[in-house]
Amino acid sequence: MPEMPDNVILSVKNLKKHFPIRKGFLRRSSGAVKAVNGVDFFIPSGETLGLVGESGCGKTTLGRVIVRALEPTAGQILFRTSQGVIDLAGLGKSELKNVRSHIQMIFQDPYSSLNQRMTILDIISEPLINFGHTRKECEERVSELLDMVGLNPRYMQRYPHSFSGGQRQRIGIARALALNPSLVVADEPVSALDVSVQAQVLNLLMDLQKQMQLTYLFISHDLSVVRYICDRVAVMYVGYIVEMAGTDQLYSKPRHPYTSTLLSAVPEASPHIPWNYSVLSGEVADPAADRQGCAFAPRCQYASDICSQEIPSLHDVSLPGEDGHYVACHFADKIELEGVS
Amino acid sequence: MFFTQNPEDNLAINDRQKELLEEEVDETEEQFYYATQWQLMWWNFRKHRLAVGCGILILFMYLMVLVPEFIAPYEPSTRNRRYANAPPQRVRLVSDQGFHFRPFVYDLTQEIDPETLQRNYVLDKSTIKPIRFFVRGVDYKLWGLIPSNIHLFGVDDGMLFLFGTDRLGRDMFTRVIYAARISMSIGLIGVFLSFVLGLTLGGISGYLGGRVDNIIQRIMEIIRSFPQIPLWMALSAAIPPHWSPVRTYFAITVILSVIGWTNLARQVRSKIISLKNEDFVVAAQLSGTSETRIVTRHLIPSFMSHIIAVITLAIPTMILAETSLSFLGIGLRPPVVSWGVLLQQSQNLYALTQAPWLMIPGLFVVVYVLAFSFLGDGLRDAADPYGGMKR
Ligand SMILES: Nc1ncnc2c1ncn2[C@@H]1O[C@H](COP(=O)(O)OP(=O)(O)O)[C@@H](O)[C@H]1O
Ligand SMILES: [Mg+2]
Repeated sequence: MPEMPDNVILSVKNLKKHFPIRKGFLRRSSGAVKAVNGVDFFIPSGETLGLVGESGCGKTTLGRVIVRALEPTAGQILFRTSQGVIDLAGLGKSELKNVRSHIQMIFQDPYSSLNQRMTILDIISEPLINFGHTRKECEERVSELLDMVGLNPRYMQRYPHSFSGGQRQRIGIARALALNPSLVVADEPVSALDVSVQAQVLNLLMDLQKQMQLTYLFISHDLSVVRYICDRVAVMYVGYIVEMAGTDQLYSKPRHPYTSTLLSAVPEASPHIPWNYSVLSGEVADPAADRQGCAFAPRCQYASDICSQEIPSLHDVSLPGEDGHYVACHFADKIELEGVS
Repeated sequence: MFFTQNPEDNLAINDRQKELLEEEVDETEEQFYYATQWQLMWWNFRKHRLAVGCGILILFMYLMVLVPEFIAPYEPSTRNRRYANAPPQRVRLVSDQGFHFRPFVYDLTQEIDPETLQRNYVLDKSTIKPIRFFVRGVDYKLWGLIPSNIHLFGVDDGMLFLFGTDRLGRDMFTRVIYAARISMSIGLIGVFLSFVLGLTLGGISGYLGGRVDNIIQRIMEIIRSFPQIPLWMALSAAIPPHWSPVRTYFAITVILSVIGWTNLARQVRSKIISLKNEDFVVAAQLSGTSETRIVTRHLIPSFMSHIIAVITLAIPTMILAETSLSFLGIGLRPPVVSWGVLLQQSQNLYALTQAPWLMIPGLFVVVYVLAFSFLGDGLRDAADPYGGMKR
């Protein structure tokens, strides 16, 4: 049985997901998009880990591999259940069904994530039915769930088209929680919503976390949202994690040049504080290319020879008094970077 | 039973977050909220007046061909020596004696033009033949079961040719009605066959993907790359001439659908591929839904309405194909009557110049095809009632 520390619920090791590029009449594979290319991270039980990064860096793919909507190309996904630690990456179809109830997903698009042709009751009870609950139990449970997410259970016979984006997202959350999961992967759960509704849904997620002892992997490209909800943050760049640390630590004392650049792109909340943003030059690395060194090296002002020759590994660089600050940079100890207050 | 924590905590959230939903809604909105996809589609479809009208017309036509023996006054192969190439008789209400409440026709008599030696029909104004409904006429067995001799309309003695007669004196109206049965059912059966083929192969192709998809796609491309008419001709030339009319009829339907399924299969495949990646399908997979349930509860209901519209638009193609084949003399053959067969007989100069009524079957083809096209357009527009709904 695989090992991991007792307080950790999910630990991902060297996870890869490559999409083959197919060409020609016979659809032969020629190269691959390396959407997730050697990701390491872990989440302590009951915490929220934020996963941030530019669009296209592989966040969604990573999330979907973890919930096993996609098959990983390589690596381990260690997950703690009441029966012990299992490696999700190695599970076949029938074994997967048994762990499905423990890991659920909340989707970005509140429109395409609900089947418009089913009533709210049918949508939320689908997971319950799959795990052998009777119709009557479902109805009870659905009304309980709707109540929890702040919707009136009276409307369970309605169709999704009668609800607004925010309300639909709540329905999606209710569905994800139906089976009492321990880990929820939320893929940009608020980025499709109006700003006014975003806060409501974020608060709901935090309340539910307390109530049901949930662990979240919270994917977002919005740094302010991540700062609001996450205990720790992992920064992703073209298929791998460049830095992971506690939220305050990462925002105030970033150790990877990419993190620092990302942070500087967030405008200051007050007009009196001058906004020092550094602009990234160069192109985002091509996820289909073979990588020799650090993927960020071509755009990094601190890069030197070693950066384009050797892939930096994600290692612990915590100073005394800090806990768990991981960076994948050859010069993490040598450079001074600016964070945000 | 589901929660370890006390229910008071849940309430705390609800008080704060209970949203707008409490507001009162009026009844139509209420109805809208509980509407299934079919209701929404119907409300959308109803707005297309033309499509609704065409739908009713088509329904009416199919009801008619269910009982051609009753609708038609005669039998399609009965010859009337005295009335070869007779023009359509006009239905009248006014005679020399004044107004009649019952519509009537004048009898026709033949005259030979002394100069040109051409046979002409003249109206015999002395004989007023009132048209009666539900008259007794030739015996028939409805659907081979119910013996009867009641016809929808007719005249007591003498003849009634609403659409005139052909070279052998056969009543064109009767023939058009009987032909409608063959032509209109060939469209339905042909589309049904290609629907079954297209749904299965397109569904497998889209759902499984990979190797299987690749093979099915290549086969479809090969079939589609043949020019249609020569392919039809080759296939129907292969039908043995001694086959009974019924067997030929089925062979032709099969030929038409063997070619027609590829279009449908492509539509089904592309729908399935795009649906398979929709979040709600992924969500269903993640909650442990079996593949059968995903297909039957999520995929099929989501593309069915679209497929119905595609099928409706495919029916006219089928009927045009049958008509073209028969018109070219390589489809159905007499004594079977289809619209194509009837048109084939009007394929001469005499018909064009002297007996234009022989081309009435063409009018029926046009009406039928147009009606289906308009209906299909309306259905297609209504097929996705959620399209414009994003708020
Ligand atoms: N099914 C797929 N097939 C091929 N490439 C894909 C597929 N899904 C995602 N990708 C590619 O993987 C990369 C990462 O995409 P994604 O995970 O959606 O990024 P993000 O969620 O961070 O915006 C992109 O380059 C995208 O084009
Ligand atoms: Mg994404």
